[in-house]
Amino acid sequence: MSKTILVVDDSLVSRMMIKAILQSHVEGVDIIEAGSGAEALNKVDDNQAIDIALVDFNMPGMTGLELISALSEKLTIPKVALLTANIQNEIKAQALAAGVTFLNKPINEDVIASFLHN
Amino acid sequence: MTENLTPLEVDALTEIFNIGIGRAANSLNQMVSQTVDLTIPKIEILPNIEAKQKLNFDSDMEISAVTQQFSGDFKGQALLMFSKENGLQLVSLLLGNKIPIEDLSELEQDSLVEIGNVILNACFGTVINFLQSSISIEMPEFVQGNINKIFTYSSEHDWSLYIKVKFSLPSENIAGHISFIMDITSLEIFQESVRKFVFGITSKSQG
Amino acid sequence: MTNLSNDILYATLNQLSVGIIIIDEQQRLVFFNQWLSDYSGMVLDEQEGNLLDDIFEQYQDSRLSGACESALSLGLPARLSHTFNPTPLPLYQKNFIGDKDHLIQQQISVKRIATNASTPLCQIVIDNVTHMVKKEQTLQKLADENIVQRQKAEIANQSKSQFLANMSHEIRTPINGVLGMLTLLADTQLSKTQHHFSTLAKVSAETLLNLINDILDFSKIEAGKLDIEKIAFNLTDSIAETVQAMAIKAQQKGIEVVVDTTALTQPLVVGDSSRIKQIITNLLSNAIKFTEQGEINIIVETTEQTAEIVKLDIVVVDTGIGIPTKKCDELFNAFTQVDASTTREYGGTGLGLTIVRQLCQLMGGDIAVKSEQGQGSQFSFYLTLEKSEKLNKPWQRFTEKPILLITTNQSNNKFLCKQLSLWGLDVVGETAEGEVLALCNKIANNDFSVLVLDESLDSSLLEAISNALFKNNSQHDKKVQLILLTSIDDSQSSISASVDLLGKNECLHKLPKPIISASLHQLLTSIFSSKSIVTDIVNPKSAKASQANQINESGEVRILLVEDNRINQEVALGLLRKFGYQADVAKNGIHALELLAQRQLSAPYKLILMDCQMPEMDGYQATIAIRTDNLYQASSQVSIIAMTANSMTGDQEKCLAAGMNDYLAKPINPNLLAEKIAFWLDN
Repeated sequence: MSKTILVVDDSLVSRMMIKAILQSHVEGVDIIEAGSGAEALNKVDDNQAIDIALVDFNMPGMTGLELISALSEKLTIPKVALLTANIQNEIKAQALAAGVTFLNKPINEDVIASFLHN
Repeated sequence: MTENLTPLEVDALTEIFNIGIGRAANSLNQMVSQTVDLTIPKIEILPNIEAKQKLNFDSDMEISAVTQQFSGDFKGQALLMFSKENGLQLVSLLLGNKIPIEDLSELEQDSLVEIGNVILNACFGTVINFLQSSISIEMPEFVQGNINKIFTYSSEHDWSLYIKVKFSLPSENIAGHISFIMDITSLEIFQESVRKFVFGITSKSQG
Repeated sequence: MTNLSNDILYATLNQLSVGIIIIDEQQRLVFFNQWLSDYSGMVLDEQEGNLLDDIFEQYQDSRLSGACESALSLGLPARLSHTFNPTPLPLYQKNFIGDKDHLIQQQISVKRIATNASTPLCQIVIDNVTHMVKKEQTLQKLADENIVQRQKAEIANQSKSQFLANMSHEIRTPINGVLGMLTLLADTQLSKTQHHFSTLAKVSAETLLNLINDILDFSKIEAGKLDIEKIAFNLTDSIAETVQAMAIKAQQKGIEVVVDTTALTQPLVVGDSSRIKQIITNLLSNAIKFTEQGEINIIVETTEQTAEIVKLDIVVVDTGIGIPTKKCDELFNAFTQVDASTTREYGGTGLGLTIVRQLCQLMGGDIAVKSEQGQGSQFSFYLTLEKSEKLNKPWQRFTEKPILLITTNQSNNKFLCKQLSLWGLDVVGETAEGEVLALCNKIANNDFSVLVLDESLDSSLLEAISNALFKNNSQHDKKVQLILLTSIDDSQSSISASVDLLGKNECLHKLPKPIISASLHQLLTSIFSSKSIVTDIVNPKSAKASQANQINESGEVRILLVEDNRINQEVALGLLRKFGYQADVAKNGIHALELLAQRQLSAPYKLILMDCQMPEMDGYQATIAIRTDNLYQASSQVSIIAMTANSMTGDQEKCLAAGMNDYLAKPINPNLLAEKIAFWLDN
């Protein structure tokens, strides 16, 4: 069963790295990528079936957290994670309250694996 | 001057340092009682002369800096610089002290060195990890003086990988400046390793 | 390097005064030195090969552990200062091993040892910084205390200023009352005894005022609060005014006073004229006090000059009782008098000369005295003043025939000869009686342009000369003038008949001593130009006063007096009445504004005398309201003279800044009051 994964990060390289890991680790993965919150909202239709969202926390314009909140109004995504190199306590508290997980950058296989199978 | 790298390569470099700086912020937060956030707008590779201008320090302004020499695949000097007042302020805020009088005492200098070490090490760390570089790094030192004194060990023909850092604390923001100074040869080797890295990613994501 | 055997290196490591730990890739202990052993209580042999996690509690997952990890895997060196974690390792002061209260504060460096690439090791170097930290804390505490002390000193300093300002005001207000009332009393109908008593009271009050001024000055100087003004003024005029004001007392004692300012070719300077006058007044007053007969000379010399600065030497010499030479040094010390008997006989606080010296020093100078008992005294002081940018007008020179000068005093003679020849005039002077005849012939022969004689000359001599002059003048169209040098108080002297005759023929001029160069020059100018015959040169101050006395008669003038102190109200009203003015009274700023508003359209006030310190609304506030508030627009340009008992620097500026036009210090000087009223009403 192929999974649809939304990857949002303003760094192309970062998206490339994530895609590379996902493609090598997950079989038959379908990746939708966007370089900003606005682009992501544009690309995603209402009630589209997205299994996993990996969103960079620190983006110019709409932040990762704001995007997740906007997305949740359009559709439901079972697994959502914020990617960041630095987790600030207040943000962490906010995110946990919204039911969102944090993943430390840089993403590697182990991190992805444990997240996906959790 | 970042024109020797393609936009993609600049993106990669930015992401590398973003992650490094983010990690540094993480470490700092665990060390101190205040919440600190570190952010960088962009990476620039410039001739030293232009980098010095970017610093926007007057020629007689006192600068407090932490420096670490490095050598190996590429060699040079890493600097984390603050205006003297900003350095004092940062130390004072992070230590939760009343403002130190006029100068950093020797022990307060050590605090600044430790903070600088955390940040520079994090940058070195991500560079080594992502670019697979082999470099050996020296102990951090404290140096204070005007801009010429800080840049004493580099020449006018050297280049800087310059990053402006914003320290966001609850009460205020403090500006710091990072410069990785290398001669032209080292810079080219460094840029080559960035190209190799991007090439690797690109081919992997197409595969 | 090959000379150093392992044993030597090993021994060196164990003798270091810092701790060394070496670990392998798994963070197992490879080595630690004697220092570390001493401070941890661990023995190397027992711990070699163990994980550091197991050897040291709290090491696991610590920052130090992370730093070692980064060093081993990435080669990143680390510096751990004592600030964020002072005691990462369980190391104790000697003799207190295991005691958690005696942990040492540690500064740690971590570095990879990469001699063998395949088996990296990591070194941890530990420095005991406990003492350094203590020292810095002490320094910090001292610095903080220093700041606190400085703040306290600053507050104390401000209190002192405030105290001085208050004292100044509090004391001057009642003294104004006393002096003012005595002045008014003297103008009323008094019996001879009453007049005598009131005069004595006034003298006492003036003495009291001088004493208080001295004490206030002294306090100000001690507190460093005395400011020296920098205003352009004419030094020669200032000196002249000062000497003239005091000369009458000297002349009453029969003492000759001579003022020689011939060296002041550039009299326009920048400085504090009132303080300079204060110095001269003090020295002159002492000279007069301690001299019974003879003369007092005030001589000015300029010793050094650059384009911007002039150094002035001023000497006050008297023929008085003198000071014992060995007492000369102490003279300028505060509170000393020459001896107790002097105090008893002559009075004084002993502050005067101290203040004089301090003032000299504040003006870039100093003062010294030379004296011997019974041989008179010589006080010389010097000042450094800036030259004014304004141009000095040089004296106009004369080209007339020689002047005949006969005086009774050598010093006076010397001065006058010097001054006259500086103006281009030849001087002929004879004092020997035997030559009188020859002299009279010359006079009758029109040989001289002007005659200058001292009135205290022998009367027969005066007669002879006057007669000769009269004879000369009757034969010539142009009348040669006689200038008679008189004392200031001329009322007692009797004029000889011939001199009187000259006067009736408009050939006589009286010039009061001490001769002021400016007055003499003015007189000679008018004589030689023969445009207008100038009559007696009277004391300029009294001229203004009499002028003031005349003005009030024309028309009704509305003056508003604003003063809260009842006695001072009466003093002011009394003084105004003396000069023929009437005034309305307001007891504070609010009351003043009410009256102002009431009258401003029908019969507006032309002049307001405004006390500065008043309850409810003070003078400054009232003035600002008058100048700026639309309510008082019709009166917004009324002239306002401040009357204030404040004598601190800056008070004058404060008054002017508030919008007042002029300024009078209490105790009010009646003549000055009259002058200013006349001036501002004229405006």
